[in-house]
Amino acid sequence: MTYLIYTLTGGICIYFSSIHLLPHKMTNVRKLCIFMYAFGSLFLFNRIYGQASTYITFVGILLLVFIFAKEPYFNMSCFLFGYLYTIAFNYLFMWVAGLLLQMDMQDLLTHNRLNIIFSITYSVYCGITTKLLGWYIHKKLNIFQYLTNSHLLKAIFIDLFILVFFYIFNFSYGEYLGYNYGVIALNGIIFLLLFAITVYLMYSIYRATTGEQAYKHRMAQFENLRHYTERLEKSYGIMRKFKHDYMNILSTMSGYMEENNMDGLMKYYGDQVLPISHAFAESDTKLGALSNVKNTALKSLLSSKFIYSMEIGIKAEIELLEPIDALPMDSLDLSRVIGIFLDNAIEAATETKDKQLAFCMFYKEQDLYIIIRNSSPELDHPISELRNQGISSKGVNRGVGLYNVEMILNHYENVIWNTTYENPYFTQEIILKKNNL
Amino acid sequence: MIHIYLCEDNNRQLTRWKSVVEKYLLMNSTESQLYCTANSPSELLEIRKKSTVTGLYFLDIDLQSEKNGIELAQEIRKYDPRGYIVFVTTHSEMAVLTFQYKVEAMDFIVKDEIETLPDRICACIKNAEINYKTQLDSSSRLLSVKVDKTSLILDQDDIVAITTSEDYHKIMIHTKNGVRQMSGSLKELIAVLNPAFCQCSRSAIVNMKHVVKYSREEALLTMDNKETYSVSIRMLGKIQRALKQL
Repeated sequence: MTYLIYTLTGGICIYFSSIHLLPHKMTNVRKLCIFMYAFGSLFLFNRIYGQASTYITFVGILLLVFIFAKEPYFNMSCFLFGYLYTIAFNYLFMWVAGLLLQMDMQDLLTHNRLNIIFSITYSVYCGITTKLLGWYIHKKLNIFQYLTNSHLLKAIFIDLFILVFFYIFNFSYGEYLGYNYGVIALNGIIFLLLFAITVYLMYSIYRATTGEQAYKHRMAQFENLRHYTERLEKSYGIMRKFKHDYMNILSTMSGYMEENNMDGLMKYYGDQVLPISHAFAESDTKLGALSNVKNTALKSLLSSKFIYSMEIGIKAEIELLEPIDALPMDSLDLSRVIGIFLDNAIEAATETKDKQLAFCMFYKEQDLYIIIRNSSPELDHPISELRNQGISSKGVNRGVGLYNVEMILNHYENVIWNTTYENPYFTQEIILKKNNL
Repeated sequence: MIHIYLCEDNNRQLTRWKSVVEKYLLMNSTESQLYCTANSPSELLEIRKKSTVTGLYFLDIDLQSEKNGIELAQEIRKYDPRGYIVFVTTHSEMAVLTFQYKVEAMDFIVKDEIETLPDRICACIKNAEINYKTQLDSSSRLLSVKVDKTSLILDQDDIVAITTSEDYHKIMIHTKNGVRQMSGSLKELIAVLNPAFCQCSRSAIVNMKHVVKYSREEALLTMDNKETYSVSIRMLGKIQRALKQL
């Protein structure tokens, strides 16, 4: 009975530490699978091999996570981290319990009732703290977004793996030699230190990568805005030239009028004056509309995409008739989504004869509408499948764009995403409902 | 019958539009009538509020007034959600997508192209009249779904399938040329849909009219927009019966 409860709580601890720290939710079947494996392997082998059986449990779960998860290294690292956390604190708790009760480790482990109470309290503690930790790491820090470097991920994984390996080696060997209070205390302290150092290292890596990304991002933004300013200055130059011509045009026209030369006036108006008004509608002056976008990150993204699209000969229309200030969504997420849409739109538009691209943002009853429409060749796939991973009109290893959009937008309950294709236009439409939070 | 409204701050242009519309109404046998010519948004709205007839509105964008044409159109939508709005604008004020999506404008006319202006106005009146007639015929088939403040109006026959979304607050409506999301649940929808719709699994309702192929071995429905839906074992019998009836 004691053995059953002991292995059951052990299984629960391992289950918590592995599930709660994973970045994505698993299906119930997979969760059950992991739990059954953790409990089963502990229950079956702990009696026979002692603590060395942990190797079986641990490697097995690692394999399960590897099979179940989409990004194996990241997920396995998360699991290892959770496992380390559980064991390190287990040591600490045992040591503190021993200190408080003035009991030897050996006595504590053989004292049935105390052992059960200890296991149950610890598994409850473990469940709560790992859940909180998982929430903090993934929801607050959103660590996965920054750890995109696969070498770094592998290094972290190997580091954690070796640490866990020695952990288990240490305590299974310790059991072989026989527990003793001093050794346990020492082990606890050493591993806590190691664990603390690992956490600190990982934290500094996290800080360094976020810092680097923020810097890169700021530089890119700065560069984009510089281009934007250049364009605006150029279009201001055109305006100034027109201002200069303006008086000339008027005086010429009044000249025609004085001569009562209606034919001449009409000819002059048609040949000289009308083309000027068309010139204003041309590309460069259109960028001025971006001044209505108040968010700098978004403005820089839009300006860079539209300058690029105009350079490669796409007829771009930018419709921003009102100031866009309140964004009911994180501006970086929104920029990524719009960036992906615009990249796709530009790519598709270049494949058509008309090369049209239209972009607009407006508020309708406080909801923000963002619409991107481009001329596009016929689609090969049903529209609903475009959002799946690996589907692209450009062959294998592509088609992550819209899948990423789906991942980002799934975090937001207040977002509606519509996609339509009505020959010859492809339209992406996003409605951001005002947050009532 | 449609009521035609004109709103333009420049009197010269307004008279021009008026004469074009009057000429059209004279030349064609139609029940539509020129109901209001206004210089300012408030003037037009004052008259609109008193009427209940569907309107066709020709609006200038820059009205030199407290409201511009788009804001006026939004105001009109409150009183006449099904009305037809046409913007008459200069080249530089053009914002096609905004017209279309923000106020569901039917069309726009470019002021600068003086020669084509009369033809375009007449074409707009004709389109509105045709559309108005078909609307009357088909209003029973429409699926009108309330989505918070705005409602989504779709012809049920155009819907290929309705599925759940990864985010469980939203469902996806698949039509021949697109997917749109809305908040709601399949259960709410199945109650308002016509009998052609059949639930084929826990996460999908399909419109049997759009099925092109059914593979018995894989229990897979292929739709006319190239999508495929698998049929769950529990629904097999129901789907096969529905297929036989087609």
